[in-house]
Amino acid sequence: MDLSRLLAVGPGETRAHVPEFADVFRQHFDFVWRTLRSLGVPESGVDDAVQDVFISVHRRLPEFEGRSALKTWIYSIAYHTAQNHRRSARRREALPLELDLVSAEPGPGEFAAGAQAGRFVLRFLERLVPERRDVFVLCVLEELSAPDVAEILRVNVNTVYSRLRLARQEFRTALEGLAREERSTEAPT
Amino acid sequence: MTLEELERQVIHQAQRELAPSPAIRERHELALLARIPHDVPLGSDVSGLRAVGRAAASSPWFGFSGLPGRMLGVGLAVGVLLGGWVGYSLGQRGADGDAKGAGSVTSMPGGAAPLTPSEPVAAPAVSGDGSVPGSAPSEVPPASPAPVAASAMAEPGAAGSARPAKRAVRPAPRAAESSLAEELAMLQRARRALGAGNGLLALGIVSELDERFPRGVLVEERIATRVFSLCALERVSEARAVGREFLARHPSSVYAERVRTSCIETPE
Repeated sequence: MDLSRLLAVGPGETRAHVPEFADVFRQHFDFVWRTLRSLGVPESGVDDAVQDVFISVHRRLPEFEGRSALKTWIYSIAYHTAQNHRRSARRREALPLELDLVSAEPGPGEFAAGAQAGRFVLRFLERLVPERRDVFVLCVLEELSAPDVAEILRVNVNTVYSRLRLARQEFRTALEGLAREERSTEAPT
Repeated sequence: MTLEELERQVIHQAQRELAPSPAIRERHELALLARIPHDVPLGSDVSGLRAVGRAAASSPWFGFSGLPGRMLGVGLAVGVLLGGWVGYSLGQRGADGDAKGAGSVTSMPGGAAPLTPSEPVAAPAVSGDGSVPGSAPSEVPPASPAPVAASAMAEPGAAGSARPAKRAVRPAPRAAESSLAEELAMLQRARRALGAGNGLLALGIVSELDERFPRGVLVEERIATRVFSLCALERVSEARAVGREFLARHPSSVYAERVRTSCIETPE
């Protein structure tokens, strides 16, 4: 008997497929953090939201039955945690403050230096309707498959494809605007 | 550049930029260590895991359940934190002996206190011989409602902010956990100071730990930190005195090898 596994999953729990919490944390922390930020959790609340996700993961890990991929299961927890925190943030009316903090658009030449992509994407996500934003974050930024995203969002997979197509169109439109600005900046006067 | 290429580039760059820094990850690790509930009966054979846990030092949560196991997990977590100090030996000594940052320690005792009587009394959970006697958590008095996570995450520059309304409805953490979180946070600060080459600040933090937590839990980590700090300051004879006493008291400590191979092994 691997006692570490026993300790990790709780008393009397010996299912071999249950991963250790420490491994789960190590492998998924970055994704959870980034997903929560991308899904609209205010920056001031990301720390708390991340903690909530992993406390929840720790509590529910013994229940993980392996019917879905662990990654999908954790994203599902993160996604619903993000929803709760967004609601809380709206109630506290903290969102306008956060928007102010990231309201400055990157300049046309800034992408060349590779410094502002994150801010541009966050700004873009703020403008998307939530349904498209969620799909864009999970499919594009986190590179999850459409069936996995459908499972997390509890929608039909065709709905995921449809929202993704629309979100991508909007993203490209935003990028085209940026490219136009770059061209006009670079053009000789 | 085509639109598709630009899209790929922006997404790729955003994925990197939106990722948390190692400091954020570390902060969360510490906060979780202080928050995760006990879920193993106290009668569990945690002591037997200590030796195994040493071999699994890369797993900070190894054996992290129940109070004794919790302490073990914390010890290992700090072990991981201290792991970056393996290279802190002769090669690095002397480079940072100046007092850069000394201004920030003016309120701290900067000298190396002798192990006795200022050395904190070892808590049973991390006694040097490797045994981990059980102690009922019910003996620990309940703490004030101050959230443990907040104290563990209250590093300068932390993005998180207090959320009293939500945290207030959570179960009150135990006093021992709160102290433990503070100890961890201070040791982390000391580690950062050492990593930044500021042995003086690290030493000051260790001395502050002695004052604030004379019966602290992370005793071995603290003394090992003192040794490394003294080495960084080229105070070899003091490091040697502290280190030798540490090795005599805690010969099987997870830090014994690092202490043994620190500056104290240089010929007198």
